[in-house]
Amino acid sequence: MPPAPTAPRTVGAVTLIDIESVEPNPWNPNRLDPSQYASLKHGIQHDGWVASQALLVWSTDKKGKRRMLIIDGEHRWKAARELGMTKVPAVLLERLGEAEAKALTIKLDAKRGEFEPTELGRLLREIQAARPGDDAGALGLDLGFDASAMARLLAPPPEAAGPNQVSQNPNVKTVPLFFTGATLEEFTGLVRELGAKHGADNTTDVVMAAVRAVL
Amino acid sequence: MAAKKAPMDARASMPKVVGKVVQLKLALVQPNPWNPNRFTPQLYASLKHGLSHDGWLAAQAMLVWGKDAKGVTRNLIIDGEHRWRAATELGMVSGPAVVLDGLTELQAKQFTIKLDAKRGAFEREPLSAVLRQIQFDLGVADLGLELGFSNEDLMRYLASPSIDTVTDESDGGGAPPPAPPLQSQNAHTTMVPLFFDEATHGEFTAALPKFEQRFKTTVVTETVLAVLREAAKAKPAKRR
Repeated sequence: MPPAPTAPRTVGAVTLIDIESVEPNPWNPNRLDPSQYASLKHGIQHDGWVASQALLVWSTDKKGKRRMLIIDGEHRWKAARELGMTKVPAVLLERLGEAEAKALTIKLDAKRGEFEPTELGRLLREIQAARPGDDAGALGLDLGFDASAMARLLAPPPEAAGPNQVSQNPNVKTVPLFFTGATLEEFTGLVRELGAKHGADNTTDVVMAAVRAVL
Repeated sequence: MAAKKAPMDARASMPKVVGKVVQLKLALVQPNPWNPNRFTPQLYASLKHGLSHDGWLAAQAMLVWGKDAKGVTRNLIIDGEHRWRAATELGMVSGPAVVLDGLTELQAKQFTIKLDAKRGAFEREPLSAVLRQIQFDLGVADLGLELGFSNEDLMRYLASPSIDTVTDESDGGGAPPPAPPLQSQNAHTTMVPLFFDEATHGEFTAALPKFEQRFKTTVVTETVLAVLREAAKAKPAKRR
């Protein structure tokens, strides 16, 4: 079946390139702390370089001038080079303006989503249980978290470790909600508004009143 | 799945390239049930916008768990669920993917985490510098949508680094609020606990799947927000 006429296309193709044929761009704002970089390198060494994580390379500019700068993947490239790899998977983009190349560096990093902490914690505990021989440090190196992040993420679920001591009471069930800036504001605004409407004065009661009203 | 050996594969310990990017029919695969990665609706819109306008870059291929260690076909997306979803919604029938066979479920789960966790974070000053360099050259109407930031964040990042120590004589508009240090994205998450007794907890959890279906949400927080929005829309409150 041919794609719909307006459907987007796959852009570029992954080829193996000489690792020395490209170099980092001077504008990359992405930083890895030393422990994360160590973990990235560890991953390439032990799992290999998974081809779905190919480098994106600015091959030529609009005038056809050769650039060969890494748009995305600088740290993978650096780690692979240190590990002695000579060929790496890459997509070369040609006839691309400098602003577009810079924009790609930003957008490919910015549109990654975030870990939902409860689900990440659950998954990490499951993995930990399946790897009894590995301590938290070894797991963290393998999976990409430093020691303090591992301690936080591997802690018992929020039912038992919420910031509020009420949850120590076994008869009280806790359901954690996770917000980022803008949604937190919306949430507190809605709770205030609905609290007045339903005559409820704590968040859980307001949520339950809304649940019953909407159901 | 193993890549061809590079001709100059002299060092035995040298890491290999694993897998090969192919065009894969999107209908053949589906999301895994364990993915802890979440997009806000705004970020998802931006991802979809990017696929629609720039295409799906082969360097952003999906990683797919093809067959498990026992040879049973799984065809679950290890990494790239949101790209897959957006591309499907945009009418794409195939996309770039690497299919790995022979992984155990534990290995597949670990890949989902590893590939997401080792991405680093933007450093504030270099990010601001690039954004200021390209903001006019790109010629797009909605820079936030284009690049994947909320307008609020974009405004902060575009603000002059010394804006809060200089009086506003340089720029036309009012001075943006001083920017907090840019942290890793997860650091902005705030937890709000709900406390239930047994019975109410049962009532709440029984209602959740119905709401998830109705509001097409998957995460409790999103579901609760959708319920509150709906309740706020309803005219006179239905007293219970």
